[in-house]
Amino acid sequence: MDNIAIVTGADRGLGYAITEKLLNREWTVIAGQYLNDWNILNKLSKQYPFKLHIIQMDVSSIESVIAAKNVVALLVDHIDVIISNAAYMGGESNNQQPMEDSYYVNIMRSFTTNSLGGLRLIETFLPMMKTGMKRLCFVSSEVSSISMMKRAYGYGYCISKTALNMGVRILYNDLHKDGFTFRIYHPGWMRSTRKDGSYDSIADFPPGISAESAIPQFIGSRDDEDRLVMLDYMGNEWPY
Amino acid sequence: MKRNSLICGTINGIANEISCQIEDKGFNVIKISASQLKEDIKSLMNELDSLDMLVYFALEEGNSKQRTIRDGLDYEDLMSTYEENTINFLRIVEYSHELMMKSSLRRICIVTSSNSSINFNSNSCGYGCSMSQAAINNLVQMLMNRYQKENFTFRMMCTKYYAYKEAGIKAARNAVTYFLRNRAYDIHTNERNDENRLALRDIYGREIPW
Repeated sequence: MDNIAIVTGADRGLGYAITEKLLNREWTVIAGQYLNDWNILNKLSKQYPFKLHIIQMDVSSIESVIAAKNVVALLVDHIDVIISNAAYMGGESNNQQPMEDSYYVNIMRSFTTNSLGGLRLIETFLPMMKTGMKRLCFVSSEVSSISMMKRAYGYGYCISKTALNMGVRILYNDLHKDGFTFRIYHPGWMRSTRKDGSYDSIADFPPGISAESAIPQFIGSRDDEDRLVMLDYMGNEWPY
Repeated sequence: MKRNSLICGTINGIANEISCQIEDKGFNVIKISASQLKEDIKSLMNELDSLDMLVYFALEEGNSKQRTIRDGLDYEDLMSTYEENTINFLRIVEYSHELMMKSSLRRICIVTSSNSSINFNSNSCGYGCSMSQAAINNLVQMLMNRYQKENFTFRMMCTKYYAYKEAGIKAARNAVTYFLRNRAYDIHTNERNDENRLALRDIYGREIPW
């Protein structure tokens, strides 16, 4: 039986790098595409025409996720691993002076994409996970950690990732007893992807480095599956 | 002159009892429910001379609190709960900042529940309330990072539903005592002060992990 993963936000950055590395390991990948004008994923599909399936998906819309699932159900008979990676970085809500209505609109957009996007994904694809690995992975962030929070601005993105961690906790309480295992991953500070697939020079490392660390966590086993933990790209545990 | 305390958010039984006890401590109490927040807060800010203490009850549970992921979640309801518990709290902090700067107390108190703890939550449902309360915990930490240099102080308190009135009164009394005391916590020396560290406590003063 094929190993099959679904990855959201696969157009670029970490999602793209994870997709590429899973394909290298001969996994079949359902790659959720949000940005129509980015074509590096299309180039990758020429390299893996039978293993990579690109599906349009906006995780901020349940209708979009259901439409994607209806297509996926025609392509594969089950899903082993869901990797919820799609994120909205916060836009205007990263500025230092809130008060305008648009500031709060951006905070809500962070919540519906970053916190609820993963829930829409799991709810919709859960019926396709009755067999297989039953692994649910969520890309979170160090800024979700209340214990370690040092920032004074950029509320929208940070608090949406904390809300995500709580959503995963409740999923864990519900689904772990049925054999589902969970990963919460902090990918580190990654360089942004340009449209031609190259990376800018700001930040610590390109997404491929983080994806290389993520893959063993996402598809490997652990001896403490009865604990929900957030691990970073070096395998270090972060407090909530 | 009486000090002013603004009570807002989800004004339920425990919120009303806490309001009464704050009033008993000599505060002029002004209440605004979450549904009126946007309309009332700006005009109210023009009426007051200063604001000493803000108490926010982030206790909205939403209409779909019993739903699990298998039932299918009501995403509109989750969004609405997040807006009421989390975003409205940020709004009111931003709107009232200037007025609080005119007070020497500058205390912001937030009431949530132990279900806001990612470590402790053991439920299979209640996404809206728990996610919005966890987000508030991080938001308050960020606000503390931002406003502590202006001598703002913060108190975070977990309450729950109290079936007996006496239990609710006792819980409210403990909450108000906690809100109003300086956080010199070691009763033997009275020297230790963890005001620089944000803590989530229950009504008995026990710390709840994030």
